[in-house]
Amino acid sequence: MGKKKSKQMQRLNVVPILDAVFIFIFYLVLSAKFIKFSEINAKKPVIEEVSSGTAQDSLKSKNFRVKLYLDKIVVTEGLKQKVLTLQDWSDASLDTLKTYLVKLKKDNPKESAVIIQPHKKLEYSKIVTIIDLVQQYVDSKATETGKLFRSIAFENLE
Amino acid sequence: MKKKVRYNMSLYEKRYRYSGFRAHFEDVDITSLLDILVILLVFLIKNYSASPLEINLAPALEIMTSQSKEAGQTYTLVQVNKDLDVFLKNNPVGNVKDTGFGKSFLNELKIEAARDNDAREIASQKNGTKVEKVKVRDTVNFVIDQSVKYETINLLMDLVAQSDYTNYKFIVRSRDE
Repeated sequence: MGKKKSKQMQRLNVVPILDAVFIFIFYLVLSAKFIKFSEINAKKPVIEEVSSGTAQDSLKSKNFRVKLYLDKIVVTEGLKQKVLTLQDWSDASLDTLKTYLVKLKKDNPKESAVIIQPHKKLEYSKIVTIIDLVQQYVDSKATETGKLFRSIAFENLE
Repeated sequence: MKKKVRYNMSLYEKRYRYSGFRAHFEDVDITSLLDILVILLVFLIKNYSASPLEINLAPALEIMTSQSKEAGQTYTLVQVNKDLDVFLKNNPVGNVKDTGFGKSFLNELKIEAARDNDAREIASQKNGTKVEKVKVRDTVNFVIDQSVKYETINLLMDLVAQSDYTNYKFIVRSRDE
């Protein structure tokens, strides 16, 4: 005597899921910010306290400087400002600079700061372009934040 | 003697139970609706920003885009548009080219710093935490038009350094990669 098995499938009740999804969407729509803002940290050595450890550490550092002129970019090293590379503002040169900075970091993994010296007539957009190159994200475990050079300081071009 | 309570079925119930009547509901196909909801969810989650920073951009200000991913925090906001008008917390405070701009901007900044300090002390008193002499060391968020020259930025940084604010951050628009 075979018992007839009911082949009726149980329907999944999706109504509570839909309710939850609608509430979630409502929350996301209300809290959505379609412009994402982020920040660039910068310092100016003039306002740094001399007694602080960071200032003393900076004396031991290699003092990499990126000098931004209206027509060229010069990367220097040390207090005597030995020229490491000289580029212009073309896209190809910026790519070269990008690669060069990666190499510079590879050769000096302990260096985390770069001084930027922009020309007084240089536009802010160009400064941010260079900051992006200096603080480009790398997939290296050598950096804490994933950035090539963590800190940036501004100095006036003499 | 206990009175028997008899349950009387309603007419509708009687009809439903004994007449063999079964309500027949049409199934609504919600597959397409779910598809749209999933797409909407993915879009919204992707665009979700954890940054608490909200900025009402000043007029004639084109914000710079950058690859920076550090979420911006809310601090005293200074905006400079392409006409070099300066806004402190969305209130215009003058033009960089104006004579005596530096002095008036510095005064406004100092007032703002004092206000921030008072607010912090009041908050710490309300929370019942030990009221310490708070060293005013706060941050200014700069939102600068991309055409502004470094000399203007340098002037503003110097003025900020002279006031009670000693740190600054440049707010940029994140570039999606």
